[in-house]
Amino acid sequence: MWPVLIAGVDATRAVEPGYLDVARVSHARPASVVLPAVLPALIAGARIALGIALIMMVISEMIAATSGLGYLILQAQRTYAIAQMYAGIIVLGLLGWLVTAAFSLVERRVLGWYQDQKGIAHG
Amino acid sequence: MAETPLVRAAGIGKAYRGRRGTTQAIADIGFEQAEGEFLGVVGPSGCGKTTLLRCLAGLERPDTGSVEFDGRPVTGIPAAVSVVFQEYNRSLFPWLSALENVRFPIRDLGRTAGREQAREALRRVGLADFADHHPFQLSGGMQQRVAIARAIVSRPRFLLMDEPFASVDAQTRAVLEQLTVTITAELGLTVLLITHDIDEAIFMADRVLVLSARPSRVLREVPIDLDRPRDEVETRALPLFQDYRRAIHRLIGSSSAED
Ligand SMILES: Nc1ncnc2c1ncn2[C@@H]1O[C@H](COP(=O)(O)OP(=O)(O)OP(=O)(O)O)[C@@H](O)[C@H]1O
Ligand SMILES: [Mg+2]
Repeated sequence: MWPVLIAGVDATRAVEPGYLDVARVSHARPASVVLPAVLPALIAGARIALGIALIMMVISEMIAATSGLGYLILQAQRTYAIAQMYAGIIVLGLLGWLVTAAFSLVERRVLGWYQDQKGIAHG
Repeated sequence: MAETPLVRAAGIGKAYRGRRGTTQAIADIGFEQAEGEFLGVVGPSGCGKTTLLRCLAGLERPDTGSVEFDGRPVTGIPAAVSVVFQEYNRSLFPWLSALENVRFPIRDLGRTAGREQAREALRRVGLADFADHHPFQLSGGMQQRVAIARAIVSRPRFLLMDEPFASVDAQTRAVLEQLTVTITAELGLTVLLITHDIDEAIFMADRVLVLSARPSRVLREVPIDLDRPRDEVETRALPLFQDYRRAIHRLIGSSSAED
């Protein structure tokens, strides 16, 4: 949550004053231009938060839990079940890839304008 | 012309206070503008033109003096006022298409009716085919057309323009000047155009307010008696145009020589 919050606060402070002027002369709420303006920063923050969350999940499972993917991988390693250990790692990799892909899809939907403008390639 | 003016500014002054002391932007500006009149405001760079516009639009409160719109003192931003800001790249929303940018001021109208009206405004500025483009996909001149469309879409009575053509090339500028004069005449709009380009002010306006260097005041009001419709080539070549040009250049020149 923190990366999102920090990115959001930072970006809100940096919103182009010109946008706010346009909102004022159009008699619109400031939020109607602040939200879309800070969205790229929010999503970048969320991407970082997501990575951290995934890593934290696995690590905490390795250390403290008696179930879960992290626990399985560590347990397999300890009992020399190498095949099972690699299976766990591959599943973990797949999971990471899947989450990122899903995230990119959402990002593409809500931030298409931003990516096109910055010339960000998307797949 | 005995009727009350649409806009009346009396003795307005505005200073900015910062850590490094106070900057008096405008000292004492007063004028009246009749409904339907096209007023040009020229002054040297940094003399407080944008500050004046912000006070007139109700975006900023002057320290001294008063602004009246349609007989009422301006305290907030009057509904019938719209603005084209100095830098289009900081005033168009990059996350919206041209059409949605134009629809922004009338977003409460309902989607279908709003889009129809926004399309009509885009048509007027010659951008009917670019409704779905985002600002970054448009040239500078086209972006400024979108900004103009957005400013007229709500059918305002008073249009304020802050150096709208300062950052486009000379040819585009000429085209946009002509376009703006045509559209605002068709709509019967009262326009106040701020510019540092003396020729542009003479070409477009019925009357030109000449401001001094900062802290600015009105040096003179120059009525422009050039026939309409005006033509970018023919009108500018007239001896009378050259006379106005010379006179205003002299005014500004002598004012900055004083300090
Ligand atoms: N927000 C602000 N805070 C402090 N000083 C300001 C602010 N805005 C303008 N000024 C100062 O007030 C003076 C007039 O500024 P303003 O932008 O009104 O001039 P301008 O005539 O529009 O200039 P330009 O021709 O460059 O657009 C300048 O000296 C500027 O430094
Ligand atoms: Mg300015």
